[in-house]
Amino acid sequence: MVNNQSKYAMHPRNILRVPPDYTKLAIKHKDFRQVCELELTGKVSINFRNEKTLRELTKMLLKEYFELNVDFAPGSLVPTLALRLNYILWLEDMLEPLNLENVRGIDIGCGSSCIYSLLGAKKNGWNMLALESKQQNIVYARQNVKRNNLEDRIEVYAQPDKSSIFKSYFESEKLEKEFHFCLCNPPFFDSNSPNPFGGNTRNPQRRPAPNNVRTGSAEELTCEGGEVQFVQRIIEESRLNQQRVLIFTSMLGVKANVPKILDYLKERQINNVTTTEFHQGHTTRWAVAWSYQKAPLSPGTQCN
Amino acid sequence: MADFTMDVENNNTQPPPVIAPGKCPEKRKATATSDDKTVENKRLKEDRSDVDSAPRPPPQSPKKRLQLEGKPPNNKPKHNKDLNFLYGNYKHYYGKRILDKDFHDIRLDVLATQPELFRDKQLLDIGCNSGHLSIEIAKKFDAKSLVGLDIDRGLVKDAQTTISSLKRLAAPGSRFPYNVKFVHGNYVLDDDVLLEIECPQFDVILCLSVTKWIHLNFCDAGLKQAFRRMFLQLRPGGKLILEPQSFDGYKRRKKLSESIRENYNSIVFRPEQFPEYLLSPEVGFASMELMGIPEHCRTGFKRPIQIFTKV
Repeated sequence: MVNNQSKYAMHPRNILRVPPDYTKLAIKHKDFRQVCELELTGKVSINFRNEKTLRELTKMLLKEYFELNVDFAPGSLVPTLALRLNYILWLEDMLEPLNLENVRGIDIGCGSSCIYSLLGAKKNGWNMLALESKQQNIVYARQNVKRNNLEDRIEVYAQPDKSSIFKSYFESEKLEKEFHFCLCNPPFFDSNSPNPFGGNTRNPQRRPAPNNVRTGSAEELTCEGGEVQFVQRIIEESRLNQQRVLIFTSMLGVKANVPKILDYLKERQINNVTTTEFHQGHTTRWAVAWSYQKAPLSPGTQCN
Repeated sequence: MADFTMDVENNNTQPPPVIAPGKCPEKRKATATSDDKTVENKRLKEDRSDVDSAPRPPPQSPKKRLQLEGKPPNNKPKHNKDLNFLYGNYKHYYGKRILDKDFHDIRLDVLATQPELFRDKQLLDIGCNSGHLSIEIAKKFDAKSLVGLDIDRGLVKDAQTTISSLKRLAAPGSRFPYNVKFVHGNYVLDDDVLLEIECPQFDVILCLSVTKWIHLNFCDAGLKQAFRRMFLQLRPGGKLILEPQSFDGYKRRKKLSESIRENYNSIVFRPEQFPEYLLSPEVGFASMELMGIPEHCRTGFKRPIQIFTKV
């Protein structure tokens, strides 16, 4: 889709599209100030390569722009707000033409922050089912929901095991509620690989190091077969629950994995498919959406 | 109606003394060598559209602190549009010369009485203007590094240009002038709370003839904050070298703008009280000594240079 905006900018409605005035924010928020550095010019700068800094930054942005008070479990993944917003905004765009009231979504692997569910509920009034298997994350996620008075909108469901995505919940849940979408940040890396975080860049000399530091436990970052297998499992389970969720989506961290997933969908004759890119700063992520129903996922997509 | 010429900036209420030739260094009109012309043309071509920078004044301006020998002074004080120099950010403050061998600000003589203060040290010069004095200090006293800060973007650009020229002439492997840089900004912070994250990073901070301008533009609160910031930016054992203007000199500047007039009227914190404040727990300097008073022929420029030491 060609428009006036830069190809690599954030979503047009992303409030972080224009970088915030961090100096003003540092004056306003004391905890955030402590992780900033003061330049001679009087402006503050942020060292993104520090975990505590990233944590305080996301906390502050959630507070400042969404009035959300969020706490992260020590050692757990610190989400970056720009990317999470891009994902939410993409979902908003897909749901908008459907003119739905009472949107219900599933957050697969909500983490300790429960950030997608919090944002969806606070910003859009969505009702969210947050699935999570790691005990510490479940505790923190529930506290975050409670602290922000969103218990009527967000249910944190403790997954009994990591092998199933929807299975445990759908089997236990009697009401046969239907959902309009599911979203997921899968564990990007493959725990079976000898060097899970190695990356497969063809030119390590030219590819610069990331500007931020990696956060998160091994459990959050890796799984067997990495994101490809994880998303394949979501696809498999979606086939068994075709009518329970209108639009299935997942993020992918590695560009090369996108065609793999598209092929996987094609082999199973799932044709109502779309993809997108999320741009935030130097980082790009991808996402795939598919549906078994006549939901128009993007202009020009064939409905099944 | 007060006289707005830059000549009056020296705070001299008496008519200038009759100077016997040789007794006091005389001013000299800038000679137009071909080098000067090239650089002058270059300067004229530079884009000064930045709003921070004051408009260029008419070509002639008296030189205030330079010791120059040669031709008799040009006695005509020209009308200078210093209405626009809200921050004392005068163009040609150091004269039109671009740092040649003749440059000698009299204050250097005072600073030279304690060269060990600067040798191998990391220096900050607040309100460095076009950088002439800063550069001379860095070079003459063999500083480890020097950062010059000024609120006027055009002046900072001039200073950087000077450094670039010096780099072309520098001997390979020499420390100077690679260890000198200039930064544009306001030393006074948007809010006092930012002081919480300020860190020690300099051995010596120079604040020469700047306090009046901070005071008139940012009031007592701004100046006090600046003093606190200076203390926080110094390492243990670090020194603040302060040359404050006296209060009499503020009055003629209050017409520069409406807000400066208001600020002037609001001032209760007087220069005589600076040392007490700097030595108080609110700032925290441990001691003060008088470094010297420059032997300037104009009384107004005979400002004491003080050293405040941080424990």
